[in-house]
Amino acid sequence: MPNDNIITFDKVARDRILGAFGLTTDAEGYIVEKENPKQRVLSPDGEEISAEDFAGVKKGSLLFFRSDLPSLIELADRLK
Amino acid sequence: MSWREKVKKFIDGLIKISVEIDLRKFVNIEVKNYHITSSKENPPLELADDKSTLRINLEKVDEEQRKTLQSAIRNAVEQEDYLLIEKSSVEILSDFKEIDSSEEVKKIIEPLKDFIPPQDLQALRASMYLRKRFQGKESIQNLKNDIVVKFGDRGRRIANLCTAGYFEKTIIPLLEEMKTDSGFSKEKFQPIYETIIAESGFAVFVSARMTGEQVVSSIREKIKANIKYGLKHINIHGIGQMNVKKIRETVEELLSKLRGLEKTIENKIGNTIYVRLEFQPDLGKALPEI
Repeated sequence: MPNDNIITFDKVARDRILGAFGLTTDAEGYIVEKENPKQRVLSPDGEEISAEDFAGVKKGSLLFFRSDLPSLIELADRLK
Repeated sequence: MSWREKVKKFIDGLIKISVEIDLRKFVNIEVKNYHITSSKENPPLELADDKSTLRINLEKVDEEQRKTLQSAIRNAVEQEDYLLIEKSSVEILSDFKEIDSSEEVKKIIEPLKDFIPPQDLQALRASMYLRKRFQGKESIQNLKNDIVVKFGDRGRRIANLCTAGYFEKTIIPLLEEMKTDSGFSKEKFQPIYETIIAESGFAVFVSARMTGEQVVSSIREKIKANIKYGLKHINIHGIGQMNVKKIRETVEELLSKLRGLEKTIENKIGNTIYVRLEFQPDLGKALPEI
């Protein structure tokens, strides 16, 4: 494991996990704030995140990251 | 209250109300990992086979318990710096870290890290991961797509060059050779490196999307470019049985039409193929005719 303090989740629990952060998905499948559904959540590189590509959350003003390989490499570098 | 304490309290609460939970399972167990699921089949709590991972099923708890746990998850991330990550992503992350810190990767990344653009370095690290997975006979198409989406066509070229070994066989030796020159500078290496990337290592990489005609056209254009750069050869690479067949048929067609073109290498390893064609500079004059 890359980090001692880690909580993993299944894809099927994704909506519950998003709910924990006050988030949901809009009609196009992008992650948005429940309180402000027009506000799409952005990844550290400024991209909107579709729920399908959602890989998790890390501290740092809450970083929501995607599951593609370059995004996971960026996460690996942040965890160093 | 920490995440671990909250989970313990949560477990205690669940045990009191649920007959589905066998209390003995959770006594004297040191939980190291936590996994969140949401399933109608599984119990609210269970230990994974490794006996140190606690699986919590948010589907099998009541609304109030779920909200308590969701709040605890958020606090764990915000206040205790827990990483919250989907299971398949943590596997890639873990796998990547192991490969990225291997000697094989360091041998390629270290000599180049101060001489190529940071974005190329990231694309190259991703490509090295891709290469290792490919060597392990795993499907790499999704990973390659990720690289192309992030780094564009330049990323595709870097991935192709990396999987075909151009960084260690061509680019690093060239850099090392240039560094022996007393007048060497990073600025002298960069345009040469840019040309190698732009010209895909003076090679043609045949993909599944390319038709036979497009392969012929790509080889023809690349031969012209290579002649311009004073080279007398072209390398052709492909992965997959269809591409191997396409390359062999195309090369045979070209050899039959172009005098002065010679196949000097054909290596087929597994489902990959590498062909080298050699030629004289005057071959360029015959190219418009094919």
